[in-house]
Amino acid sequence: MSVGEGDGLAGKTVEEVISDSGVKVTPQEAEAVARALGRIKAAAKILQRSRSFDDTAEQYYRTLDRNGAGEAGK
Amino acid sequence: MNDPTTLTMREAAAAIAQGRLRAETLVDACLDRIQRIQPALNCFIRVKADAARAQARAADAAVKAGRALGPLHGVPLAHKDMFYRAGEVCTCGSKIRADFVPDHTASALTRLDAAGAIELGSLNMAEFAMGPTGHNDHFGRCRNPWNPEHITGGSSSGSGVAIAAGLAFGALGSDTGGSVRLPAAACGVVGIKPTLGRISRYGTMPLSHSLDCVGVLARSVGDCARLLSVISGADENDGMSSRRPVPAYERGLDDAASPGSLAGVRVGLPDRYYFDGIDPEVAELLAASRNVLEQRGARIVDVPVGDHGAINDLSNAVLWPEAAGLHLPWLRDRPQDYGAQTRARMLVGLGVPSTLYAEAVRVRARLLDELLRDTFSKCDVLHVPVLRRPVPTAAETNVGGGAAMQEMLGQIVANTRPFNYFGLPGLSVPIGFTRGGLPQAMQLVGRPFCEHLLFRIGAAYEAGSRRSTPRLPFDAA
Repeated sequence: MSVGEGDGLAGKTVEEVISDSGVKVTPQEAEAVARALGRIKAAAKILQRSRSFDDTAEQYYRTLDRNGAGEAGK
Repeated sequence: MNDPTTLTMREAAAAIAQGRLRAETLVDACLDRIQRIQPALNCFIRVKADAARAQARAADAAVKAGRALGPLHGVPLAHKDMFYRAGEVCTCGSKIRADFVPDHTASALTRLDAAGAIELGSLNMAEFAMGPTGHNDHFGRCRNPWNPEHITGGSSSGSGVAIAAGLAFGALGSDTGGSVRLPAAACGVVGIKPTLGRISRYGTMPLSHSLDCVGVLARSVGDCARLLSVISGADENDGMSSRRPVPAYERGLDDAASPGSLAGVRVGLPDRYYFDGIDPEVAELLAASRNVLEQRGARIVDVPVGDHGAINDLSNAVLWPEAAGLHLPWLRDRPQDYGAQTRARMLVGLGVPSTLYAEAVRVRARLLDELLRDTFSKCDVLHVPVLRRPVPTAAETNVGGGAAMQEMLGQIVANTRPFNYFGLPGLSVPIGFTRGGLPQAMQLVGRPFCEHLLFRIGAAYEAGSRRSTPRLPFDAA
């Protein structure tokens, strides 16, 4: 089971997902996780705008290296 | 010489090299101070007094024999207890690794050793580097030297405290979401999180391989520059370390004191997010710090930034799955051995969908590209607070493991974590004290690998601000 991007974030669902990984979790803990996941999923809307099929994780490191700064000012 | 623990690292290194100060005298002074102050601050996990004294005697012998000396020859340092040294216990601030003895040594430590540094011991930290306050259920809370009721910042809590209290001249820390910049800010010292890949992570405790950075804390910008010069650079033991050459970070710092030293430098003021809900007193200190930069010739410019609030939350989709993956066997078998906050935060990682994690990692290049294009085309550095509010009390932040904890900790790291996601360098520089007597800091953030520019601006601020630091309470008594 996984918490898909379109799924609701009921504590019960989260509890099942975490339990599936073999880690014990209380309903109260699962509720707190569900709230945190709600924030993350809300933030993920910027992914819709930004992503491209050809983006890769490796590209990030090239971007970082290629944009190394020179000296500003005098 | 008066109390040698009041020197900067560079002053101490020069005094030793010139024979004006013996390393053994300096180490003894630090150890005396540790013995006196450690019970109040709880910043050390282990003190290696005998080993440090032996190292100091060898350092003095080398000076006397006229041997070539490294840039940190005879200088006493101490490090967050997550840098491995072969054959010595490294707890990572945890009960789970209370007896862990690594079989290899961190590259950062190897390079400090080669530069002649002396190690006084290992410093307190948040459990497994997961916590921005300084709380630790296993080793006890680290206390802020300016007021023990207030937090130290974390996770490199002991590093911030030891430097601020004059117990060591420099310290290694790590920064995955603000863990160098936050304790530097809360304790009133300088701290830098360099560009991702600038410093080898070989032999350091992992937390999130996409975000982890080794960083340094010291009393001055110049001291941080020296430490970074020593430990930066490619490492064949760390395939993620950058092969870019390491600039001479200390070069030009002394010139930063001259008027006009920042002519041509554009300091960017973000148009959103970083100042949202800022405490007026903090805003006042930040405005004053910008005035100092302007007096040195910098130009303050308003710059647009994207939705960094979302970036802040999104970084959790990277950090916690990676952390939870590392800790999964212990989360299953030894859940009772974690502190409540640590365990609760990692549970989030187990609930993040794998596709969301993959997307958050994959889209990082595009979001960085946008930031460089839309923001850093208009400025050379960003100037933002590290904390938007005065340093909170321990009681305010000790909120267990529930939703209130996620909210409180999220506020503390709000201004630091986005730059871990981008991988950009950030320098925390003290800018004064709030009326409650706790330090505040500005955070200078630059393009990738522009640590030299951050140091230059930070040094110009130090020279221009001419602010006098009050004596610590236990020194004033």
